[in-house]
Amino acid sequence: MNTEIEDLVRKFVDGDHAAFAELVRRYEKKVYGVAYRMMGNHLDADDVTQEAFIRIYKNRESIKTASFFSCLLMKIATNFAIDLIRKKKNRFVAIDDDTTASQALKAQLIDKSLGPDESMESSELMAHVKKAVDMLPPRQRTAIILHDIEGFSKDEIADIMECPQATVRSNLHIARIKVKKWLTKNKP
Amino acid sequence: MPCHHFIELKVDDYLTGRLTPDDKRLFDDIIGRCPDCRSFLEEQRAAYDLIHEVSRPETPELYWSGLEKSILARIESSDIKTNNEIAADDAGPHRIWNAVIPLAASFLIFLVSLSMGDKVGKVAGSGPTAANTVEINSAQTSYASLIESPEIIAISYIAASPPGTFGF
Ligand SMILES: [Zn+2]
Repeated sequence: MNTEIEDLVRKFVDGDHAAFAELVRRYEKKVYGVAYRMMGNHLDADDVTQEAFIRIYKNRESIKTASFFSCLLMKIATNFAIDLIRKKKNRFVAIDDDTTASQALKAQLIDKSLGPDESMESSELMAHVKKAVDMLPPRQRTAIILHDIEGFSKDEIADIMECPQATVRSNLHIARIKVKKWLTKNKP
Repeated sequence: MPCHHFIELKVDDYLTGRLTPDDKRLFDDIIGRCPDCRSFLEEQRAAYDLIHEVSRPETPELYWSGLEKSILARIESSDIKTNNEIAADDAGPHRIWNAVIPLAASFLIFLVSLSMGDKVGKVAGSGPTAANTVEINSAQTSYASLIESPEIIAISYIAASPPGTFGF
């Protein structure tokens, strides 16, 4: 975490509005990107992004460091997004959530690769992959978006999702297997 | 440690290039000799490569300045306070009015509902606040369509959430 951000966070905690505005500018794309991928639409992503910044503003007195600021911001955003997803759950057909790590390991042994005849247009494929990620249950979706797309480490994700690293790991492995299976079954 | 435990433990760091040189050597060694571990890695890598390529949503530059303005306006215009400020306010001498004013307002609405008949009274009893009830009635808005709106879901959810819902 660079000293410029450390400085901004310190000023923000002390109630400096200009510092807060600068932090919004620096982090809004990251928060929105995660929110958009989790929610799948602009309206909800906008809602999650705004709420994350409003809530971190309200909780600024608990912030000690810049790394804690970014972790807390992502934690608020992903928790809020997960709650929204759960509220809308009836509108989704989720990929079943009862797969355990050992079942997933067995599943990967019998699963087949996509194969060369299943190649498709890149953009069409990406839209399809996005759909598969959207089908994942909220916590697996959060882990996979943060790790595989946004590049957060498992340590950071464990902090953001408030769970052990082993849980992050199993969420990631199961999510990838589900995505691949879904893509194999549901060709565009 | 059985080989597949090590591979499971390290596969994410392998995919993202975060392995230490020692772990990378051991990882490659296991993958070279164990077909089960190799097939696990291949599947994880195939999914990772696809998911990793999912691009960022396209958002016009204009959106970001609007978003910033909106967040700052919400903070500056309303009386958003930090949790410590809220605690300090709750301990203040005007605390009693926080209880008295809603009670008085409810009583007033009750009196109005008695004088205006049954219909308003029923809605006033079920609505979240006196102000919302009046708005919903006067605008003749369909409550069902309000519930469908994501903003209303979000707002009502925030309002209904007990402290701690979002990890605080
Ligand atoms: Zn093995």
